[in-house]
Amino acid sequence: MNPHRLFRSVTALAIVVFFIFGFAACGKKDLASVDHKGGSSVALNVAAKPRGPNNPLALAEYKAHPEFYMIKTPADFAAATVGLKWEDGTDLPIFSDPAAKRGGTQYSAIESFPPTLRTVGPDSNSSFRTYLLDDNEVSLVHRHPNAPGYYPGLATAWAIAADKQTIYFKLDPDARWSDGVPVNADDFMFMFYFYRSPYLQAPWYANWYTEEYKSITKFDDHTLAITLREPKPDPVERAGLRAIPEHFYAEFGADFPTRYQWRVEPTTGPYTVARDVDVEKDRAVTLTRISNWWGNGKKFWANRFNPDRVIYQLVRDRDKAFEMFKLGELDTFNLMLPPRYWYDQMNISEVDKGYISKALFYTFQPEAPTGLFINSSKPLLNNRDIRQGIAFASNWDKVIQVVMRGDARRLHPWADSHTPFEHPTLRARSYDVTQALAAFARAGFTTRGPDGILRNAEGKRLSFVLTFGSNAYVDIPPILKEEAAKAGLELLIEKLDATAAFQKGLQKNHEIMLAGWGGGAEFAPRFHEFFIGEDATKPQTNNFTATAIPELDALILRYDRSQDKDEMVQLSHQMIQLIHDDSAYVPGFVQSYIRWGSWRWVKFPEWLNVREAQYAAQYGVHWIDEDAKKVTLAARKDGKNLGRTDRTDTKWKQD
Amino acid sequence: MRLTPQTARQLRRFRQMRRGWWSFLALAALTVLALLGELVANNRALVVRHQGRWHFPTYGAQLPGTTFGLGYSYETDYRELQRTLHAAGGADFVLMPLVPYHPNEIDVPAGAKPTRPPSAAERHYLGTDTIGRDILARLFYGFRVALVVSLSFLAGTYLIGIALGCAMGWFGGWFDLLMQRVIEVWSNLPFLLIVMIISAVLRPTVPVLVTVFIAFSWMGMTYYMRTGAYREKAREYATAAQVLGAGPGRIIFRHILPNLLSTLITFVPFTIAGAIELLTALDFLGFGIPPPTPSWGELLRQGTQNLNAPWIVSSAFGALVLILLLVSFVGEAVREAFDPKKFTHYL
Repeated sequence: MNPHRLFRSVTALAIVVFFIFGFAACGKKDLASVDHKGGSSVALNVAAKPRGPNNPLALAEYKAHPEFYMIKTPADFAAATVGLKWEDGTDLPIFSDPAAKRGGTQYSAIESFPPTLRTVGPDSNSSFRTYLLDDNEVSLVHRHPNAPGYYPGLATAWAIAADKQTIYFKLDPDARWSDGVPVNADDFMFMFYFYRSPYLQAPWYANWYTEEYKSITKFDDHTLAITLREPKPDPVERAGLRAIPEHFYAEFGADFPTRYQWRVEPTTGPYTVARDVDVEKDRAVTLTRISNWWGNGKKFWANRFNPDRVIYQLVRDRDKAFEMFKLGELDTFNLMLPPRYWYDQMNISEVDKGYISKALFYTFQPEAPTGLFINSSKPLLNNRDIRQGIAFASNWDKVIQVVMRGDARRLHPWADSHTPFEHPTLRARSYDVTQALAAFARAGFTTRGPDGILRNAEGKRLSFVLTFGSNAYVDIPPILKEEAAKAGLELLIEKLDATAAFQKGLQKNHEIMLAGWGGGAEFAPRFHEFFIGEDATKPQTNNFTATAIPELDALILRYDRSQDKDEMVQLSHQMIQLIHDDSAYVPGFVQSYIRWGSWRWVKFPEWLNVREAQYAAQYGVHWIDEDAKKVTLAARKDGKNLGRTDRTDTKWKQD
Repeated sequence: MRLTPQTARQLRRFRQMRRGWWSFLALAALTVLALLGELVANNRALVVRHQGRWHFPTYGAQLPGTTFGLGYSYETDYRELQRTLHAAGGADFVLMPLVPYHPNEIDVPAGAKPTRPPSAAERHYLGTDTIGRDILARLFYGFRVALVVSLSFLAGTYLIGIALGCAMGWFGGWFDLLMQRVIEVWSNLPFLLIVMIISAVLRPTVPVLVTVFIAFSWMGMTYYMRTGAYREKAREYATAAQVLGAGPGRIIFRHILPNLLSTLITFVPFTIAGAIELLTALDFLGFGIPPPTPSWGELLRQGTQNLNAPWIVSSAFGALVLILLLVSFVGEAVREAFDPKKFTHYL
C-alpha cells in the first residue's frame, strides 16, 4: 500500500469542477451508451502476439547502470539457487468458489470520472485506479487474504536467498498481457527503468524504486532475481512487484503524461478496456473480461473475476447511486458509511422479499491509523500533559455510539490487529473528565472561565482548532467538541476541502487534525514515516504529529534495520508504549467488517468473502447469475416473496 | 424625527395592507423572540431554587455541577437536576425553557437511535437530527444566525451601493465611466465559485462569510442609486442647494437620498430574503458557516439525505417557506405603499 492512495476521498473540488464542466456533459448520447444497455455481454478473446524489440532508451539505461540492471546466464541462476527452498504456495487453501459461473454484466457506480487511464504519473491516483490496477493486475506473488503466506501470480515459484536480501523467481510461461504478448523478465527490467524515470513525473516512485531496491537480475526470459537494499525479515513482500509492458511503451519519453493520458495499458489481469467506445468521458467506463485469460486455470485465480463485463457508471451523488441500487440499476452497494444506509434506509420491501440481500462480513487485518493527530510543535500542544488531557477529553465511545450506531470499536494505540506487532495489553485512553482535568492542571490550566473553558495563570484559554477534510467525518467533530467542553477544552471546528486539509497536515500548519490513513495488509506496521524525528519539522512528510523523540528515533532506526522478527516485535511494543505516553496521536474508531447490499443475482461463495477484504468485490469471488436475475425481476414485477436472504459471517470476528 | 406628510401617508397605507402588515408584525415578533432565544430554547434552566437559594443561569457564566452539590465541575445538567429535585420532592425546583435543549447538544440516551421523531414527552417537539440534536432548537438559533447575516449583509451592501451609486450619479463624467467598468468586471466574477473556494481553504466564520457576500453583492444597488442621483441632480432643489453653497456630501445625503428612499425601501425585504436563501444554499452545499453552528441549509441537507426521517426535511423546509413568505408579503406591501406613481407627480 503506498501513501499515494491515502486521502483519496471525494473532494469539494470535484463539486466545483462539476459546476464548471458537469453541465456541459449533459445531452451527449453515443453508440457505446446504447450498446451497453441493450447488447448481451461478450468477453474478449485475445490472440497470441509476439514481443517487439526492446526499448532503446531502456537498453541505454541498463548499460549505464550495470550495477542495478544485471544480466546473467541460466548457469548463474542454477549456481545461485543451489540449496534454496523453492516456494509456490500450493499448501495454501483456495478462497474462490468452484461453483462460480462466468458471464453476465455487472453494473457499478463511480463517484468521479478518472482524469486519466494511466496508472502512474500526474492525476493517476484516482479511485478508479483500483479497478484498473490495484485489484486487477497480477504481480509476481500475492499475499494470501485468508492465511499467512503468498500465492503465485506471474511467478510460479520463488526462493529467498540466505541473506534475506535477494529473491529468485521463476516466471509463469503462460503469462500474457491483455493484448496477447507474452510476459517475460524484460518487462521487470523495464518496470524498474520505467518507475525510476523522470518522465513519469511521479517522484514517489522514482524514490521508492531507488531507495528500496539494490538491483534486478535477468537470467533468462523466465528467471529473474530482485535484490533489496536492506535485508528484510519478509523480503517476499517487497519483491511482490508488477511488470510493465515494455512493448506498449515504445514511444515512452518526456511527454509520457499527455501521450499516454487515455491509452489503455495492457494488463496481466482479467479485465481491460477493450474498445475505445468503452470510455465515455464523464459518463461511464466499461471493463471487459478476457475470456481466454492466462490465469483462468491457475489454482488461486480460477473461479474469480467472473462477470464478463463491468460497467462503472459515473454517479456523482452517493445518495443518487443508492436510489439507483434500490431500483436494481446497480448490482451491489457498499453500505459501510453513513450507517443510515444500513440501519434505516434498507428497511424496504425489496429486502423483505429477498430481492436484495444485506451482507455483513467481519474482516481481520491490520487496521490503519485513524484519529486525532496533534501537532506537537505548536505552542501549548508541545506540552505532553496537554496532549494527554486532550486524549482523555476525546469521547470516542460517544462518537461510536452516535455516529456509528455502536457498530465500531475503539482503535488500539498503534498497529491495531497487526499481530504480533500490536502491543498485547496497552489500550487507548478512555474518555475521563477527571483525568483530563488533572492532566490540564499539570500544564497550568486550573481555573474555568465563565464559558467553562480552562485558563492558565496568564489568562490563556485552552482552545485549539480541529481540522478535518473528509466528508465521511462530518458528524464526528461536533460530538468531540461538546464532550471536550466538559473537560474545559475548546475545540474550534475547521472543515476544509479534503486536499486542502491534507496539505495543511503535510505543511504542519494544523493544530489538531482528524484524519484517517489508508491501510492494507503488510508484514510489519510502519513507524518511520509517521514518527521519525527528522521529519517533524519538514513539510510534505507524514509525521503529522511532529513527533521528535530521540529515544523513539533510535528504536525506529533499529526496527528499520532489523532482520529478526522477534526483535522487531519487541521494538514495536516499546515504540507503541512511547507513542502512547507521548499522546500526540489519539486513536479513533475502527469498523472491523465490511457490509454491503447486493441484488439476488449477485452470488457470493458460502464463505461470503475473504479475511482481508476491504470491499465486497475486491477479490472478485462473486458472480452474476443471469437466470437468477430473470427470476428476481419477474418476482419483483409480480410482487412475489422470494424469502429474505440477509447474511452475516462472524468467523473472523474479534472481541 | 418628524415624518414628512408623504412618508406618513405611505406608512399609513402600508398598515392598511393587512397581509403585509400582519406579516411584518409576525416577523418582528419572531425577531424579538430570536433575540431572546436563550429564554426559549436552551439547556440552561430559567430558574433554579436550590436549598433556599435562587439561581438564574440563563445569562452569564456557566454554573458548574458543584454549585448544586453534583459531583462534576462542568456545566450543570439542568434536566437531570430537574429530575432529581422533582423526585426528591420538597421546595427546590428547576424551571426549564420551553425547549430544554441547546442547539449543539447531543441528546442520545443509551440504546436510543440518534435520529428520533417528534415527541412531546421527550420535549423534542420537532424530533432530533442525525446526531441527536434538537431540531426546533437548531431551527430557532439557525434563524438568529440567518437574521444576523442578512441584516449585516443588508447594511453592508446598501452602505457601499448607496454611497458609490449616488457618487457616480452626482459626479458623473470619468468617475462614473470608470466605476461602471469596475462594476462590470467585478460582476462577472463567479461569486458562488469564489465563496466555495474560500470556504474550502479557510475556516469561514460569520464575519468572513458576510464580508465575502457583501464584497460580491454591492453592485446591484449602485445602478439604481446612480440612476436616481442622475435624475434628482437635474431637479431644481438640487441646483438650489448647490447655489446656496452646499458640498456634494451634504447634497447627496441630505437632499437627494431622502428622495430616493422609496426606491430603496422596496428593495429591503427582497435583499433580506435573498441573503437568507444564499446562506441556506451555501450551507446546504457545505460551504457555509462551519459546524456545529446551527443552520437551515445544513438541516435541509441532512433532511434530503434522510428522507426516511421526514421530520428533518419538513421542519427545515417549513421554516424556510414560512420566513420567506412573510418577507415576501412585507416586501409586496412595502412596494405597493411606497409606489412613487401613487404620490409623485412630475412637473
